[in-house]
Amino acid sequence: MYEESACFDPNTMQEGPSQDGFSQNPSFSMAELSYHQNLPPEAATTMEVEFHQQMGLDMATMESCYNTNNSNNLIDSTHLMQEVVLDSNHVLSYDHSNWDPNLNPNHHHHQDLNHHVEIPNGHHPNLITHNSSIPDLLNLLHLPRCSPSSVLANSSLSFLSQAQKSGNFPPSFLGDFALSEPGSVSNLVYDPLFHLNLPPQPPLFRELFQSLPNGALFGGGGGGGGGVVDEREGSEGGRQFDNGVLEFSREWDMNCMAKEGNGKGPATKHFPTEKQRRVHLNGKFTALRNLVPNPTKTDRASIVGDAIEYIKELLRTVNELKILVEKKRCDRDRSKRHKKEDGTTGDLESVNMIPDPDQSYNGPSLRSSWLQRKSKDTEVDVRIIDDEVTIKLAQRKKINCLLIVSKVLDELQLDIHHVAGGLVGDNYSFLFNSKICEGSSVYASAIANKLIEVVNQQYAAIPPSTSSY
Amino acid sequence: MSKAAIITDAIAYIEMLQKNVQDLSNQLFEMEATCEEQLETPMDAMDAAEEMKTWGIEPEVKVTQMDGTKLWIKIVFEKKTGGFTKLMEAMSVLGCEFTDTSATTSRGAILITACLMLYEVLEPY
Repeated sequence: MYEESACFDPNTMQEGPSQDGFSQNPSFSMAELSYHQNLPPEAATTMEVEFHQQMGLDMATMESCYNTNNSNNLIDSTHLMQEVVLDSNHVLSYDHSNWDPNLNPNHHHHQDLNHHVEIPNGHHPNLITHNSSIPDLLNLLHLPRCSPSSVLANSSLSFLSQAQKSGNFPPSFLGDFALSEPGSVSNLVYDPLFHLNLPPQPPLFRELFQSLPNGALFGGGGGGGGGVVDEREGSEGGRQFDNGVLEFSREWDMNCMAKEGNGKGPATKHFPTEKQRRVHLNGKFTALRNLVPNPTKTDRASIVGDAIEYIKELLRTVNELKILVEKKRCDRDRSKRHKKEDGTTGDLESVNMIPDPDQSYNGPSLRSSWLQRKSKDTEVDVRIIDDEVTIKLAQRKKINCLLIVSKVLDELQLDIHHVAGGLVGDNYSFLFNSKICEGSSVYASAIANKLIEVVNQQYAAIPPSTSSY
Repeated sequence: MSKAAIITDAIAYIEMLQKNVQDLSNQLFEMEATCEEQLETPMDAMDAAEEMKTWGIEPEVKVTQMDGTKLWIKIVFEKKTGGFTKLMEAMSVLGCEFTDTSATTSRGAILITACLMLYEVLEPY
């Protein structure tokens, strides 16, 4: 219904630039108005009344300022507006003191409304007017409109253009608001931090959020901020909205600064419903589970635990590989130096080279790594310290893979030094201790993966029970 | 930080680490491929034989029959790279399978004690 109402005529465009200072403000008031749509009717009614009260009070102060603002340049008008805002804050506090404590819930709503009105740049999605109350409000707001009509027209124009640019608000709404209430528009110029200083605000935020379904927040940047706050609301499980609102404000600011409908950056995801948010979060957990190689259980705690272990393992592997690459590079350089040597001096050099600093000096660069891999019937645990590899292998099926495994270890240039194992209950369990041959640069994950692959191949190739024991 | 942000960061971090591992292993592989052949250090064969002699270890083979198809075998021989595998291969060719195995390397020699299961009845020879 607001589409038709008071879409300001571009024809009334006059003194456009001077009103830019006002332009941003009403858009947010519009947002605030739309926000109120979802408030319960009783609250809205009370808000309505009190809003009128405030508007009435404000109008007097606003009008004069507005007139003066019109003639000043942008910066001055901004200052004036801020002063006006401060004045209106005083008015607000006066209003609050008059309220009946019994009206507390509504009181809070109203307070919120007032406070939100004063927040610039759409910091406050909280300010919403109820659907039914809006036309009444607007009618009331229309009443005091008188002298600054030209100003209003101009400001409304710029409001419209701003709204269309940001795409965050229904332009008609803005138009409405601008037309009807210059005072409220100027109220919108607000020191962003101001509301933070007001003690009663956090509960107001909370209550407003409580009453607000997720979809109520206006779309675009507002929705993004709302989405962020929503997440916070869900994740913290409570009404810790102070920080949430702050961050929302910041993001809102960024969104408006960008002047694009760019609210859906990677940091701000907007979910129109709680269910979508939950689904998205579950999807992320599943994605995390698919990344780790040894998924055990599917509950969230296990997923996170497995992810932690996997990250530690990846860090170990990265360190191991770095050491290997470094060692390989040194070896290569050394052998190159060897080749360049003269034949006669070569032997001497090689003798001197034997106490290789890389190999004997194990202090800070002791190569070590450890990882585990599990497949359906096989578990492999590979530990590497310096040049020794310890492999523990456990397989559930009754297939003796000792031969296969020792072949694989030979391929990997691992010299088997110790073997122990046999049949334990249903499992075959083996422990291999081997040394890495000179010049080989195998690393733990390669060993583990190869072993798993080979053993699984064997399972696939050979029928399950070849012989009975 | 919100739960979703933590999970998202974890996913990104894991993917980054996996990429690092992949890059490093590729790099290692390339280095290995381009690296010139290094002179192999002399095989341990000579050293192993020397050591065995030093410590007075003699290669030996002992076999005892336990049950009908079970044998207990003890082998001591010179440690060679890939020697264990060769032994395994030989045994499997003969139709034996290691049930319980223990192999120990010390002083250039390797000691293998194992229970063997016979699949085929060997011709006594």
